[in-house]
Amino acid sequence: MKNSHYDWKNLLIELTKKEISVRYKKTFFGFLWMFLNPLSQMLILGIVFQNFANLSIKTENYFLFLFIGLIIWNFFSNTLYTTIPIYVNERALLQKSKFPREIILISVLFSNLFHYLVSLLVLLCFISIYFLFSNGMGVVLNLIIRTPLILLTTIWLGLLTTGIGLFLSSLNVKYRDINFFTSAALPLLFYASPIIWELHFVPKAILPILYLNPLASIIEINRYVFLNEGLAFSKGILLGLIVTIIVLALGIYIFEKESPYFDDWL
Amino acid sequence: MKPKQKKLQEIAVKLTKVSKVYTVKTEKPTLVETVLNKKGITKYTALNSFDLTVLKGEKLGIIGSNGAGKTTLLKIIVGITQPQSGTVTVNGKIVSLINLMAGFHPEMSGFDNIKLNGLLIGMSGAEIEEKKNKIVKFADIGEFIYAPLHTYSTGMKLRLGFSIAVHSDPDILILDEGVSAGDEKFRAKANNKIQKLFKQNKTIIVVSHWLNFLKENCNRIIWMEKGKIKKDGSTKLLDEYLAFYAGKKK
Repeated sequence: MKNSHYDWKNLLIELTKKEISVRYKKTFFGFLWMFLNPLSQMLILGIVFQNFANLSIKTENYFLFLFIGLIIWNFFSNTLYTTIPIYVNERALLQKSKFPREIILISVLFSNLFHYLVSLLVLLCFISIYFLFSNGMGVVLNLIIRTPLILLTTIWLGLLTTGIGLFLSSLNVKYRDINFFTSAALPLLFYASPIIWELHFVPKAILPILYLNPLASIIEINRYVFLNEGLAFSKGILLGLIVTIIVLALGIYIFEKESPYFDDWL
Repeated sequence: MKPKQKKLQEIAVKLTKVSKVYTVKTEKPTLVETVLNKKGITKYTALNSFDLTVLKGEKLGIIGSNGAGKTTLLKIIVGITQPQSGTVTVNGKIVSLINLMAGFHPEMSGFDNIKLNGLLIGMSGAEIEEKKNKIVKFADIGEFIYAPLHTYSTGMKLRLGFSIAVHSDPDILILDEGVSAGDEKFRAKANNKIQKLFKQNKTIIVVSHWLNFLKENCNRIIWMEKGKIKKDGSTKLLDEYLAFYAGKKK
């Protein structure tokens, strides 16, 4: 059956607005939590790994380095934590009418994407000012030239998260184990992604395995833009893109197959 | 092999050989259980090769004992779930008056909820903008319309949900027994509105155990039993239905 008479666009906009406006209702700090969260994570992790952990190599600008990884990770993990059980949690909505089911998931993704882009923008301003005073105009120009890469990786990150979200949220309707599994797996993925550590520390032999995780490339490209670092892993990026396409195709396939029958399991 | 087909314009809902089977388990299956043991799963056939054609403007009442497949039939017509086999054709906008309060968000104002809920049941953004004052007026919730929904009483939420649904201008309306929206005053108003809808050339499908309501309002009755139509006819079926169960008791 077609959903042709649904005002898809407006419904998505309204649901996204709801997600954004409702999240910080009744909080004292409101939208500031968008920064307070990664900021506090950055401080804690930064202090621990810079001072207490006995590492032989130190990373330059470690706090900024961490912050970039953390906002990418927060987008990814927050979106998945919310979307994977979403069809179970929103069962009342599903039983109301036959609106396109993917809208619920995409609205969560868009609201998180909004927060992510605002964080990136603030970071961009902060880093530009910081570099202007410490390194001069040349570095800032470099940064500005590279900014389109930020948008490209944002789309990449969005597609990757959509693929995993569609796949796991569809399966979670039938098999509620999925939610528990991801709660256990996501913290592991946090340490398996180059968020608190640099790819340079990794032995060459293991690198290809790490690049199977598209987050590695996404984080690396953003550090290349923001921290004016070198970029030398084109094969890694290609591998990450291939994995993303496979995950997205699989997610859409499973969602198309399962979503007409969500109601039967709720 | 094609049966004699009515003109497409005249048909509101058409189901052909529709079957719906539910997997029944006392507990939802876990991944491990499905892999290790397939035996614990039983199938329950809610609709069994079901055929039904509802014409435009028809007022169809559906009766039958519990578990006959009435709710499943409505869910399939509304499109909330889909059958494993068979085809479903629906011509026109369909709105259900079941689950009136679903889709409201407690932290958003009445106005914002009208917008969201209207879009969910298939209204367009422009249509909502045009009708929102009418909706508020009919729901009769006064200044509360600017307050977040968690401050509303249950009756107020029902009234708002009802008001949005009836103002969405559906071609096909799905009802279940007695819309119990709000207090006596509003119920009278709601019934009035429903009566008006019945008199218009809308297609209405009602599931009810309230036989008098069906007798007064419907012009066709189907009697469902075990996922099939047992009988299809006029409101005279209601007497037969009543007699059948009265006879059974004795």
